[in-house]
Amino acid sequence: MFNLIPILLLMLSPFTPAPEVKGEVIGTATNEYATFGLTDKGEIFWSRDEKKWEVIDFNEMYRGYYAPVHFVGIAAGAGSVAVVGTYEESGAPAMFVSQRGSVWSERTLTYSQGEELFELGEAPLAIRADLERDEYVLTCTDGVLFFVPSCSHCNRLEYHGAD
Amino acid sequence: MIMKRFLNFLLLSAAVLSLGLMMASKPSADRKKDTKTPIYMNTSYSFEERAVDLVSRLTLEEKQSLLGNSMAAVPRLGVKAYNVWSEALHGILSGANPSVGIQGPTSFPNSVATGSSWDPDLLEREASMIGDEARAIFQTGTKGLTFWSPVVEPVRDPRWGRTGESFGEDPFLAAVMAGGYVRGLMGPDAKYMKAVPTAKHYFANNSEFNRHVGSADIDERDMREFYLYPYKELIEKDNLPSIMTAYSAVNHVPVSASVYLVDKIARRTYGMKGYVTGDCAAIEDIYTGHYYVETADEATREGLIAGVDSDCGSIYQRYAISAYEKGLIAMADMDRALVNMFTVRMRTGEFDPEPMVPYTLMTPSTVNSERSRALAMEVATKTPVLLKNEVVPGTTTKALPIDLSSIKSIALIGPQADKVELGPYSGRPEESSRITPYQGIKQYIADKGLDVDVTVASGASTKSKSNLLYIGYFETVKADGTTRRYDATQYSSSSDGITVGSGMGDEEQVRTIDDGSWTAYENVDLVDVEQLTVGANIPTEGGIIEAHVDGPDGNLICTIEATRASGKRVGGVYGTSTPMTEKVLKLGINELKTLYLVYKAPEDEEIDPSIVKSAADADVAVVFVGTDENTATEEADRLTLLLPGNQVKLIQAVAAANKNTIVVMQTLGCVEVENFRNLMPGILWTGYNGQAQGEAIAKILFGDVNPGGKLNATWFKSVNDLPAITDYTLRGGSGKNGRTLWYFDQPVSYEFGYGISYTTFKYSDFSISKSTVTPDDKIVISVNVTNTGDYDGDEVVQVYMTTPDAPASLQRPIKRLKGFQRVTIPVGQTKTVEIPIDCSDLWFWDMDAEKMTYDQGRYVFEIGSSSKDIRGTVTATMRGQLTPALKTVVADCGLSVLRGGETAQTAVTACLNDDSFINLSDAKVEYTSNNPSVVAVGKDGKLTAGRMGVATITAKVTYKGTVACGSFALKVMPELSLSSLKVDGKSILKAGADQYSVVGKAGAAPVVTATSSDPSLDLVIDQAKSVPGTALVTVLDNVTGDKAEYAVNFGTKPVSDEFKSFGKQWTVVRPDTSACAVDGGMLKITTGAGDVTLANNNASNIVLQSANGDWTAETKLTTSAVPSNPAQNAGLIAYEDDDNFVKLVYGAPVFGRGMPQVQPGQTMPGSVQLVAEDNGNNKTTVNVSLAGVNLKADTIWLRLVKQGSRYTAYYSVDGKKFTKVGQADLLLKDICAGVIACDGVRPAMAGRGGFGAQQAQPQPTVPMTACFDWFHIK
Repeated sequence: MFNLIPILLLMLSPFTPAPEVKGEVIGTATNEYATFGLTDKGEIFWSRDEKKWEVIDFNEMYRGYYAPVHFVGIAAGAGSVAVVGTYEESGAPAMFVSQRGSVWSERTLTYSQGEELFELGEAPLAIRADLERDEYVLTCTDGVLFFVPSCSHCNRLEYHGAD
Repeated sequence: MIMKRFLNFLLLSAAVLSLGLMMASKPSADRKKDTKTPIYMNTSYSFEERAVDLVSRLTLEEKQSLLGNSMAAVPRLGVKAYNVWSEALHGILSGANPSVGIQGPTSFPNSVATGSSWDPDLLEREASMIGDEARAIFQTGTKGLTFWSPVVEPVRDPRWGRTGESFGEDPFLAAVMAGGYVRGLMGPDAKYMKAVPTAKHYFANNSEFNRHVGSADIDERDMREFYLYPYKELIEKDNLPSIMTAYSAVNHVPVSASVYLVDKIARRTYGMKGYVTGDCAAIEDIYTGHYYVETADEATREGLIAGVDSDCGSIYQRYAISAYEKGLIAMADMDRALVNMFTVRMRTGEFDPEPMVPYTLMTPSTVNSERSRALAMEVATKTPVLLKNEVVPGTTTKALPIDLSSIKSIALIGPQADKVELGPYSGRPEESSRITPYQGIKQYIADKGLDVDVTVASGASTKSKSNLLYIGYFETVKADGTTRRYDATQYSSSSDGITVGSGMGDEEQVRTIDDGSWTAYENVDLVDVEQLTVGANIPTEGGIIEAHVDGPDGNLICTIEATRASGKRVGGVYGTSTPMTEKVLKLGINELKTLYLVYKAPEDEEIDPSIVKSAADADVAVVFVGTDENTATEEADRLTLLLPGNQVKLIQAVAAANKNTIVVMQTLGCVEVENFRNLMPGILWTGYNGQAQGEAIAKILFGDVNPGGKLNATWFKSVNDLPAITDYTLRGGSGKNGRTLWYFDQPVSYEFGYGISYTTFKYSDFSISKSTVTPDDKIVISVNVTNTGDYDGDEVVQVYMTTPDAPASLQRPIKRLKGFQRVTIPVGQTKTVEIPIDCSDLWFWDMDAEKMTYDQGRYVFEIGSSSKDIRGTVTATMRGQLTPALKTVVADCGLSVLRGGETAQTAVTACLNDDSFINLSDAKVEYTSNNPSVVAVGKDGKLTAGRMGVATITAKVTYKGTVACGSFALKVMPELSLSSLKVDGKSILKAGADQYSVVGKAGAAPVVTATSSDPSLDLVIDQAKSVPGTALVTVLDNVTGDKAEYAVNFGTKPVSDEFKSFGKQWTVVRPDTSACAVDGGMLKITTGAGDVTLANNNASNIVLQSANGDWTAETKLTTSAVPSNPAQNAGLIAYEDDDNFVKLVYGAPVFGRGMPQVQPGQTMPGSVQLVAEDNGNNKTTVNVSLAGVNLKADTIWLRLVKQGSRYTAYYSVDGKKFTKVGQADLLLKDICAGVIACDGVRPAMAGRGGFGAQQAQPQPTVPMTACFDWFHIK
């Protein structure tokens, strides 16, 4: 779920400058640093005062460095903002994290079961930030919830689908 | 004359030509030619120089994003994303990736198994193969080359949940085996590393249940001799390039926050050059586990300052900028960490052309190649340990090897008979590569063309009785529907061993629950309770929760089956509570009761009689038993050493049914065997033995391979022999046993180093190359070993050392392993085994002298087949201590980047070979720079930055004839200076000046133009709006955010005032005419509340005139009284605004230590204060007490001199002789000069008694009148 208020402000106020993006806004999120947004064309935008907006085209900026991603959601936690989606070519889940919006690092989506390590296979549908637990929660296909805490090797997968 | 001139010209030309030729031959000349390739991509520079150059180009946000294990891509610099975290404990931790042509990586035997091979060369070959597979996978761009392996922790306690990942209990064995791994993984190339090993977990971290919150409390002897020993050996002998700091603390300081442990010991004592990573969430644990600091910012500071370069987590990545902005860390702290990280990445060749790097040719087919699989099989045959091999009752034949030609049937029984157990940190090898014992044996028999019937059945479970459950809460539900929840961690009493923790999760839970454990809760309202819910997490199999009253054995009121078998959800070791509900048996309870939750393991299943019959019917019964992931793991130690589940019952039943029973155990470490070891003729043990375990065991059972492994740990008779797992000390006493072969002196089931063979070996002709030794010597111990049996075989000759002449008070170990060699000896042959011993390795730690020491007298070397099976001894006499020699020199200056013109100071530490540090004044230190025009270094180590570029500074230390060097790289960035500064086209530029004054007439401001010293820098000019006014020129490095400001102050000539009247040149800030007037030839200001310091921008009557040039201002001030506490003050001010000023005032008295004391009845003297404030932040404060100064009639002269941005303050008591107060440097704009008088604002500490004994209570301020006789400015 995204925060509607910034979008409404952008839409309703003729005096609030809007970010110059090409795509449709599909999500916004706010933390103590800034308000962030995501479009369906993989543009990520943010502003500290909702007047001056920075915009990057993620796939363009990282062409040759990260494989192109189709994004579906954005969330902001304490000290970071995260976007999720799937890699366009492989369809595998993808998650990237930034602190201030202009530099993005890939978050590993591995998890342990017993003593084996697996990669998340279910595609994320949405993401939210759990500030109390200091983790991101990905809602994925097949009833999977994927928890991404601060610790890099502590991801957890829980299945909540119908039996 | 002409000829002479011509000859001079020729000579001069020749000299110039020679100089040119000489310069052209220097390496720096080559670099200068290539101006297009940035330094960090230029292979003619050192890796560290290149790393420093790269880091200098990063923005602040980029730096932060690179401090975690998921290092971001930086496309504008061509830097790829990189995940620092990969694992390769016994094979690459990953699975197949068909999309890039990669099969499942080879899974070799786990460390607990390879440790029992005692063959470091074999492990080196294995690690080299792992490195090849790593390179093949890296080429596909899906993984990095930094691997957080090996685990080098000596196994202090076999209950440790990660025992399976370690090489064994002895530090020497762990170090030698790990050395093979490290060398193999890094590869032989002198320049590039094939892959990067990281030894972990640094250090003394071997109890899982409290690893995030616990502390290993140990003395320096245990620390140095036992826990740190493997790291010392790996760093000093094998150039280990990385360590991982543990979650836990040592002596209550989190290792990840310890400058002493990380910087002083690992880097400066042992000499580690490379990077340090924290364990995943170790930085977070600094504040959430250990509460060592309070915030994430502070934890970031602690980690970076200690020297932890990378955070497996996101604390650094989220809080580094915040910590920097709060002044908790400097840019240099981030730079240092990133230079270490990028130097390591560069050492893998990541930034170099592929043809230069020898390891880039690995193709995907390298992974799971035939060669690799064959090696996995070879290793798996070298690890098993034969524990028992006796004659089968009723025969004349030993149990092993099994002669297939003499049997018709073999029964394979046990939960591991048809299973491949790879152990912890296992990748996923191809299914076809995983061979179970059943598959291996069947295939072996088929390959031999034999007709032997093989049956297989599990017959038992491996359900663990340790760590049954984690309990978060319980809840009662009454008949009327009311519920009450109780925190299960708030028990009033419990059985022994119960702990509370949250592990990696957030929920505090009752943990370490064993079969029979209980927790009790007083005053629980059970009146009319119908239902009980327990919030429980099942880590593996689960258990039964019984609720009792009147004691743990009292009346049972409820039973909850919290087991996997009953269909309950299993959360794993990181799981949170799941509610589990059952009805409560009402017993007519009508008062508050103590509720007991008693935890029990499910009953073991009975052994299926058909299984026993199958054993009885076979010629040979082989029972495969062991441990698995449910027995112990990360976050969960074993609570028992028994084989899990009902495996012991199975063994006993099968052994009773068939006299020819062989037990094959595959476990993470020692298990209790006293309850079955005498029941059968044959016992084999192996650690988790890799993908080929089935094939290997077949070869061993049937005699193709003669087992030659030796136990890498003591096998205790009982868990009760062990001290508490939280006790990290090694030496026994006060009723507790010592630990490991070093200090445990009770009977054991099998001693360290034990292992027998199908053959027998005889030892003879023991000798030692020297009978009198010093620690400087290297000796050889030699023995002849003869194979006196019927099979070719391997023997591991072991050398143990004791110092029997050491005083008993020193509590030396019973013995220590100091040499070994595994040799293959054919039947009937004799081999001379020569084992080198470096006498410098025979040290102990002297806690008083803080250095290594050597016992004097006899050193007895016991040579044998195990630590107890000693076949002979040789003795040498030690005389003297180690000849001191320099070992590790570390030089640095605290910075990685300088700006042109800046200076820094080199700091050096020098450590000797006895791990003590020298006083550098006893040594000669010489400094050199390989690029003096970039960074010059003086004889005293002072550094001066010159032109842009990189340089390496080296400190060469000479001490008692030995020499060692340390070096570091520096990058010099362009100076943030101006190459031109003009006013209306006329140059005013002065070297070193940042403030310029131009005095003229009021009106339109002149135009300022400027250029920066380097085209890469940005220039912003903010023109003055008028005269008076200030033009501000900013030189900006857009990458780093650094900037320098230059102010051109346009001013009119200031006007002195004798205060006959109020001059037109004056303006007043916050005028209050009732308190400010010219009267009697003076400007009189009566003080009121307020000031301009810090946030208090409310002083009235600041009288100012424009003074935007350089000047000297002076006034004669008389006050109606000594300025009173806490902060009354009056004097001169240079003012831009309320947040930017310099003031020189006569103020309230100053108290503190060292100040002259005032006697009762005496008036307290005031003080002279110089205060500078920059953007609201205090920049300078100088307080000079006037105690003892003869101030007549409260009259003082004040003088403030402005020259550029420097303000120098003076005072005088007679108007003639001036005393300097101090200086402040502050760049102000649109400057006004004038006077101020105010009551000031009480400082934060006033009123707490901190200002001397005289002031018990804060005193109210009585307004004072400040009379300025005149104001002179010139």
